[in-house]
Amino acid sequence: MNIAQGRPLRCSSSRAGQNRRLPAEAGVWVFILGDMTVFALLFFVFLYYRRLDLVEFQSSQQSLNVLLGQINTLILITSSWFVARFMGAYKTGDYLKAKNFLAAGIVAGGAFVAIKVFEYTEKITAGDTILSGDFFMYYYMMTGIHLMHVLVGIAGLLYVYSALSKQRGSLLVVECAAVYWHMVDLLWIFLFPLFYLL
Amino acid sequence: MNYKSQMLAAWCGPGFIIGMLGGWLMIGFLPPHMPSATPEAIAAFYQENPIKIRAGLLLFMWASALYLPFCGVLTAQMRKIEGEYPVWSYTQLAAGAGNVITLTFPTLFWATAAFRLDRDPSQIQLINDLAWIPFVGMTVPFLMVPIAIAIVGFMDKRENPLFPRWACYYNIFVMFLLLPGGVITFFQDGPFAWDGFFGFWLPLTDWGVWFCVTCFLLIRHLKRESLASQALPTAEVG
Repeated sequence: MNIAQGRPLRCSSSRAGQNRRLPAEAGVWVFILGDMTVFALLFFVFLYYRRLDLVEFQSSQQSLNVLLGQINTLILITSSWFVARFMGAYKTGDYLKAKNFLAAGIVAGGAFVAIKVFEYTEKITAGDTILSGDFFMYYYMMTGIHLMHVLVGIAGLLYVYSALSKQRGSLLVVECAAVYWHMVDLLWIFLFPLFYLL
Repeated sequence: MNYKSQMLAAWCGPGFIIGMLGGWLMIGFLPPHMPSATPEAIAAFYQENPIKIRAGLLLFMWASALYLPFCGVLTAQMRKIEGEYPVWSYTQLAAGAGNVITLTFPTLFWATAAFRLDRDPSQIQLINDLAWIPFVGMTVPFLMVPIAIAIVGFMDKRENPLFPRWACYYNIFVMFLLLPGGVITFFQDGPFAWDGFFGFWLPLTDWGVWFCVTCFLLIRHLKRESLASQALPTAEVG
């Protein structure tokens, strides 16, 4: 679909009521809900084993850099906000503004990855690797799986950006990428307190 | 005739799953033994009931052959969607061949472990590791099949597609769950080890359910196609 011809759509949040439509398509939600269920399982397993060995988990947790975790949380929420603004601009047909918001979202996503890599390197050089006890096993596995999701999400947003630049890209694809990105953000909002604050 | 041969190949899929599960249960690999078990415990597993283990492995290996016709009919149906450049159908075909290797090779290592039972236990353990690590950790061909199905499924614009759109998203989800399989090499215990919840049970269930769904969709599509061709007998050309 050529976006220049696309009928401008209203932001779904502005029209709560009878005309509410599921963003993207039903199939995407199969994937999103499935993925979130798996993460929920991971969270429960983590909490279960944490309770069995509370002292070790808490002492390992002390060595995490809370500040970096906080910064990353802020970055990801900001990125989600940019993507939400992008969706709004896209639906009203303001493609230039949409592209700028999208670019900001992608840059923020990239910053999250850079900080996470810095954090991993800092931890590994300090001697806390994936084999340094159960806490770190879960920390590296779960944040690692999440990081993979972040990379896939950035790839999706980049694809949308390039499609917009070529005056292509359907609402479906755009919404898919945006919904996925919000899920990545949501998962981190659970991961952050679980590992850094609890 | 064409319909019958395709149907035969498609029904090899359920045969494959049932035979494999039967062999697996016969060997006694459910639940799998722990990666952290002592060499003596591993050796004792093989020494206790070698004949049952060997027979179970044989059944498992024979059953995995049934994957090939299933993969063949899947490729043929996917090729039809892709048309002139069946890139992802062929990718799926190659990955399917890889899947059979991934299933049969560890089987022969397990059989080797059950072959000379008076071996030093640490050697039996080594062979046992050599079977389990590729069996659970070799995710590469398995990953490519759902990716190829999802891509081809999205291209399918027919009224009654082989893979509906929800199935395409489901395939991507399945792929994500199989992806962490390779990390089993880091852990000898816990949920990410080869006997753990995320290392073994979740990917196994995920793949099993996925396979059944794929069989169902394929057989349903073949039936539909046959009905459509009966309604239009003149459409049968060459």
